[in-house]
Amino acid sequence: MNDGPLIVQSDKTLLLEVDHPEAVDCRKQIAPFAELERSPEHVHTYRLTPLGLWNARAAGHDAEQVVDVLLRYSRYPVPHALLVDVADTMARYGRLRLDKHPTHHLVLVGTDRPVLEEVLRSKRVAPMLGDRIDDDTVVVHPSQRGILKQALLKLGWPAEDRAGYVDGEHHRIALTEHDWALRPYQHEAVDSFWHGGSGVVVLPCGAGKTLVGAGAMAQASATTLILVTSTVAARQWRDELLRRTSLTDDEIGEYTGARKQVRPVTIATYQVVTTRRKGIYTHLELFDVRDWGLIVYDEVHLLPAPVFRMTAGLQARRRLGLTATLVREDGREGDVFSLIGPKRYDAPWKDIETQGWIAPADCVEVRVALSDGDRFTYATAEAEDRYRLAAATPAKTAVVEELVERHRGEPTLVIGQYLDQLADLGERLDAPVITGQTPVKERQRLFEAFREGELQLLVVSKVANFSVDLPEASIAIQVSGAFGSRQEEAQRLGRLLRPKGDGRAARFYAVVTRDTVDADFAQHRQRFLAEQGYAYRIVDAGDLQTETDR
Amino acid sequence: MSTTPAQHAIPRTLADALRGWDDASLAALLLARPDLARPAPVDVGQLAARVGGRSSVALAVDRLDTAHLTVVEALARLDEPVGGADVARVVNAEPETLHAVLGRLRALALLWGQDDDLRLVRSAREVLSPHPAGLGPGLRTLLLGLAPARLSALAADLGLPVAGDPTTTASRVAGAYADEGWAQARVDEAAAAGGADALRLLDRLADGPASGRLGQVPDDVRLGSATTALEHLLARGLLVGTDARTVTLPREIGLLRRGGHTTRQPVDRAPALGTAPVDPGRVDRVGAGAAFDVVRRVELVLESWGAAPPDVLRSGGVGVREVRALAAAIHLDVDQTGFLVELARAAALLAPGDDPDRGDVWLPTGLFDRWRERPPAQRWAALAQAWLRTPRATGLVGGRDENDRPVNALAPDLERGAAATVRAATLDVLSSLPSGTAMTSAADVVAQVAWARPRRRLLRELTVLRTITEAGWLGVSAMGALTSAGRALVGGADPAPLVEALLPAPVDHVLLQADLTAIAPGPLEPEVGRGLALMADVESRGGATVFRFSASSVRRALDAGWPATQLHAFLDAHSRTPVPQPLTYLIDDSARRHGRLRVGGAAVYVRSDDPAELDTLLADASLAGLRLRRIAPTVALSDAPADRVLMRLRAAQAAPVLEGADGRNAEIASPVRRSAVPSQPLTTVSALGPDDAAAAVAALRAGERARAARPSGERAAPGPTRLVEQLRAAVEDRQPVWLAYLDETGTVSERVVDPLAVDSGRLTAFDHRSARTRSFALHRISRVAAAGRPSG
Repeated sequence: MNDGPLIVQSDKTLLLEVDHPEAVDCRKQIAPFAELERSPEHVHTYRLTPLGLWNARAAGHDAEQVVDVLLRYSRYPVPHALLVDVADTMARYGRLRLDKHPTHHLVLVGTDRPVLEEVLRSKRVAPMLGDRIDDDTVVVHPSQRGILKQALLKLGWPAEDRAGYVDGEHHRIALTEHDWALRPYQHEAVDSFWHGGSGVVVLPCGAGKTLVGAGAMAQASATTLILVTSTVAARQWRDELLRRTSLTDDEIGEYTGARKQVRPVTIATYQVVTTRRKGIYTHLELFDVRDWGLIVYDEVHLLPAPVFRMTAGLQARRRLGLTATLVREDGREGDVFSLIGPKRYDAPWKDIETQGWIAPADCVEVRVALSDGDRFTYATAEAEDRYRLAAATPAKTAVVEELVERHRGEPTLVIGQYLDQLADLGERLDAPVITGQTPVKERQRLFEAFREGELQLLVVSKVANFSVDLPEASIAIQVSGAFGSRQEEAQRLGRLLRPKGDGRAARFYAVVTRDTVDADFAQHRQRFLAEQGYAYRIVDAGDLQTETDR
Repeated sequence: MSTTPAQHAIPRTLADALRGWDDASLAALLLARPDLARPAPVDVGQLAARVGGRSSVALAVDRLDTAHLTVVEALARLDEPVGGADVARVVNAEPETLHAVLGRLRALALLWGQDDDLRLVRSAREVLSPHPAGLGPGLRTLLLGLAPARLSALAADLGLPVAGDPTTTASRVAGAYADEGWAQARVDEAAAAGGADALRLLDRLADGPASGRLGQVPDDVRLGSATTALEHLLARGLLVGTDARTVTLPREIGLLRRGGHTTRQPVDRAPALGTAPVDPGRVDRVGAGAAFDVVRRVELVLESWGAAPPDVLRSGGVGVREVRALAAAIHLDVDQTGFLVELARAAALLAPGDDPDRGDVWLPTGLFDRWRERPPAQRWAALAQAWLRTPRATGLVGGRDENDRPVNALAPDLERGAAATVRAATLDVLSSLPSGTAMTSAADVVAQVAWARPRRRLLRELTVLRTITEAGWLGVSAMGALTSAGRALVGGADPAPLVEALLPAPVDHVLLQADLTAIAPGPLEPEVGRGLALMADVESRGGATVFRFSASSVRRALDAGWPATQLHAFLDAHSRTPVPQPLTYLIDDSARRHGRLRVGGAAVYVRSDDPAELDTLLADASLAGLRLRRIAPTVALSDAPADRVLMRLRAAQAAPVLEGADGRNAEIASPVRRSAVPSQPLTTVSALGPDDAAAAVAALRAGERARAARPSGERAAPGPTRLVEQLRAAVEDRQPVWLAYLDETGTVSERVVDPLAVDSGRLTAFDHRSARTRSFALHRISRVAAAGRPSG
């Protein structure tokens, strides 16, 4: 019997024993085709999915290699059905190809005639196609390139897009690497993207995705449109580009709710491009106003549905997606694959963490109890009010005060969902509160002060969740949060994962009310964090005093 | 002939021929036709009767391959006496092939007699189609069926001399047609006169069957007046009208149109089988993966049905919905799930059992519990062996039956003769490939099986394809080749040891992780597995098992009576890694909340507003039998019935009052139930070993000695079996017999008959008294004796 580190389950999960001597090699070999699902301390779980296998095909791996890797590292016999399935699935990619054609511009070419016949007969696909030039070739109108790829993926015959890209309007962009340099994995990410043409780079929060974007822009040296999640994030990108590249203030435009500048490099928010008036997208011209050579999609897992539709029409331009996770809460991973492109690079959090690029985080759940009076109120409350009652219990305030006191002198964020709870905490802790109502200018001023070390403590609502860079926050205390969605946790933790100057471990506290729905949600969070490989401890509020600081 | 059993003198009967065989040949015969040995025949006479019995011959003929069957058909079609040379002329095969085939047919006792007078056992003709090899009877036989005037006219038209008696005339015409050149000339004439239709008509009948129905066969066709193609053929005797609406192509013309042979293609060799090289080690590993999966899933299926058994449908079988639900639960498609269910049943692990409320339900049998305790390799071997033998055609499940009703899994009446034999033939084809070679096309295997079992047409293709699929599911084959274990299975050896080394070894530990999962990196030892299954939910199965702890799963363990300390101790003992702190918390949290409310059963309560009253009762030794227990200052409980409590309390000088009506509930125990193991496992006749065959031959010889030593004039006790044997022997040996027959009126008549067939409780024979062929009910024949050949 083989003594490999991998166990292949018949439900298409792969279990990798991380302490095994061959585990590192094995991880490298399976990463191209299997999606990492969980990475707790001893056994990591990967999953084989059609998209994952197609990603591998797009990166030049074939089924034989995949099967070979599975058989080589598997400790036990691999279920036959699974091997057959892998081969079948991978064989579906590339049976159809989008190619350039000298006279017809864009054509769909079938390397397997029955497959071509099948898709030609599909009611969804047929209207997107033009004349048939010969048995294996059908004309495609360039405007249909994206939606055709989407439809073909849905039919299970993902097309390989080899029709290439327009160069776009040339614009010189260089990285100014005099006091810093791209990290090795950032280099690899840029190279993989560039060779692949278009696609997605997956890097953990704090691993420097913005720099991968800047690297790609320098590589393209062309006008670039950057789409980001919020105005704050747009400013962040702008600052980072000014600092890291040869671009000057005049060359970077901001296209947000507040300003509508179009410059060689333009940063726009998803919100503004999806603004509609009388059913018409009012800012659609942004995509055509210049001959963009590169389009960057920040936080691709949050890309709103209308942007997919717009992107379908931009298939001749290079597209780079940046994200920490390919998992979309809406399940539209397939659209990311068809329209932005396959995954081009990915490195797990833990690897980058061990290399010292991101700081390890320590997660502590502090449990408080409801007073007897509150318990009764809670028990008799309507189901929809229960979370609020449990999460915003005054019992948490004392714990938060104690934690803040203990970490006085370290940059600390207190994060919550309920405004009155946050306002109350702000008052008790004597700290500024940032909510959705705080003007952008004020927000920026506070963040800047926090970054500069003038401010040590901020109380923030959900608004801080998306793409805000707070490099020096090393303590986060969460008092309430919206139903523990995976995305939110990833974002929240991302705040803390930035490398610290002095190598201190970031710490994440969640204050949770025991025996309530708050604790149930905390369990989801605990599972997610543990799955991501973070140390997780539970402490009773009463034991906080005696709990030694690690 | 090397393969022919040794022969001493010229035998007159089949029994005589068999008596001349040596022990080894007889044993080989019994091994090749095991039905002959069940029960062991007492002497060679009885053996001979069985050898010629219709059902035994049918079994033997069904197992012949195309080469053998072609020879048997030729033997059946040719006019007697048939010589080896006649067979060689019409069978499209090399002389060596033919030689070997004839030897093998003799060894199977389907053929006996001298080389110039080959005797095919009589019932072989009945077993074959009415037109063996798709050819009609010989011309002479057909012509004798015509009116004498018509026969004479035909001979005259052909320019042949007409004799006084029809037999001679018919022989003359047949003799003329025996000359191929002459026959071809007649065909050419008919084609010239009748046009292309004449040849088309001939060829259609030449391709078999040799008879065709028409609206009306012209009955008096002369060469001079023939106009249509049909008339031109009939006028020359190239076709013969066999009744008012049927024409038959004579064998001679059929052979002529087929190029002189009974088959157009040579029958020496099986069709080619496309192959590709494959790594045998990998085949074994992949197969073992499937094997492990099947064992695990069968266990899962039975566990789940043991807890929630599905109904046996009124039509038998199990509902599609139940199978679908099961498929979803075990992550398989419906087809494979149906297969697993059938497999469990074939292995007698699943059977209908009785449910007091719902009638019949499908339940795991008692055997399941024993099966489950065995090591995985043996569990697999038991399943694989059951699969090999099951007569059920599982490929029909999911399709529709003759009445267009869906066929459910476990449906009754899925037993098909083809299932086990075609499955075996398919596996034989696969095992004929050397190790390291895989088949590349299932269609090739179908063609090979068709060659090897030409008589098994029904369901053949379906069964071959299904066998290939199922063999892959089961791990008997992988990547188009049999695994080592599969090879052993097909060869009749124990496959378990070959698969054992490849299966995951059982482990006694898990890895606990902070995300509240426990991973068992191999199949768990049963005790550890049961403990974990109680306190955590299974999330993923396979070589490893992933368990997830949750508040509800921990509560389940607490409910089952495991205190928190025991849970901690169990995890400590069986975890390779330190128990993560969140898991400890989860268990303690659950335990803390567990049991704040307490529910118990009691038959009777005794309540008093005065606690002192209860104090007295509890202290009273005479009431100890009631086992009163106090759960609150003013309440005590007892399990004794209310009337007894009342009686005893009154006897103890208390003055109780019966309060209200009670509403007691009984807990129901043991949710898991079992059905009885079916008394007869669903398998075909078990195989006959070489030792059994040798023993049977020894018994035969002893029987022969007894027969020889029997005092003259003594007859073996007459009995129905003996009588049938005598008649069968007479059929085979073409000997007339004397018999005493009790007719419907109760009169006993004696007659001499030529027996032709014994079947279905009746004797068919030519009766010399009435000069016609008639049938006799066997139970009315009281005595039989040899009659000696009639003169002439």
